Amino acid sequence: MTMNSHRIRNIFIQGPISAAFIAEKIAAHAVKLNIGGHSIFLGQVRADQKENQEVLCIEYTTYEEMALDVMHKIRQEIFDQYELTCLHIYHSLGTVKAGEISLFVFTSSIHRKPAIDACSEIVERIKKELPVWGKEILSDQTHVWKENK
Amino acid sequence: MNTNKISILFFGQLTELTGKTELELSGIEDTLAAQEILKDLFPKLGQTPYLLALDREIIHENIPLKGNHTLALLPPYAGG
Repeated sequence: MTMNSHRIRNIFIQGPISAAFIAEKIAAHAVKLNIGGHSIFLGQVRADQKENQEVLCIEYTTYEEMALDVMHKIRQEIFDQYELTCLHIYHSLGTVKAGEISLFVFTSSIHRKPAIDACSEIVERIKKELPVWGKEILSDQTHVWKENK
Repeated sequence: MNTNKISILFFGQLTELTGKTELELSGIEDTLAAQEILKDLFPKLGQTPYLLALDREIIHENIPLKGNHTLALLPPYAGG
């Protein structure tokens, strides 16, 4: 377990998550010599066709106090369940255009399997449990509300 | 007499449907009574699925409201 795993952290970033930010986070782990594998999930905004229009971007909002509570609980449970060395989660708020990244989940472990399994479970739990809403702005400037399946 | 203050929070599509992000109710017995009042104020809430969070915890049953609380109406999530 990392030192910081009991602290409530803010996972939210205004706007898209840049490739440079992701690269920086990867590079920061070069000094952690007990890590043998990382797993990364990147959620990207898709230009879906809806009501004969194309999704241009998503405007994300959240119930921040509750979302951070929920994320803290997920983080604790994941650390209890998997032998992880590190766990980093970032989610966008505000406008993210089609093709840009809105979710970044980054797990690390001594051997590959816990990192891969934990990463996949965190993504599923975020979709199901995190109070985040997405307003999809369509090419004719109307909108629909995204709903996770 | 119950003189509690209940802060009601709306999110996502419910902010459009009600035209509000928050409002305050007072003298509310329980969460079911709060839901009934909200449905009278905003009839469209009756046709929309949402979860209730009392003081940031999802609830699935009627809870008595003593003192001041925050009740949030959460439409389907879209994170990720």
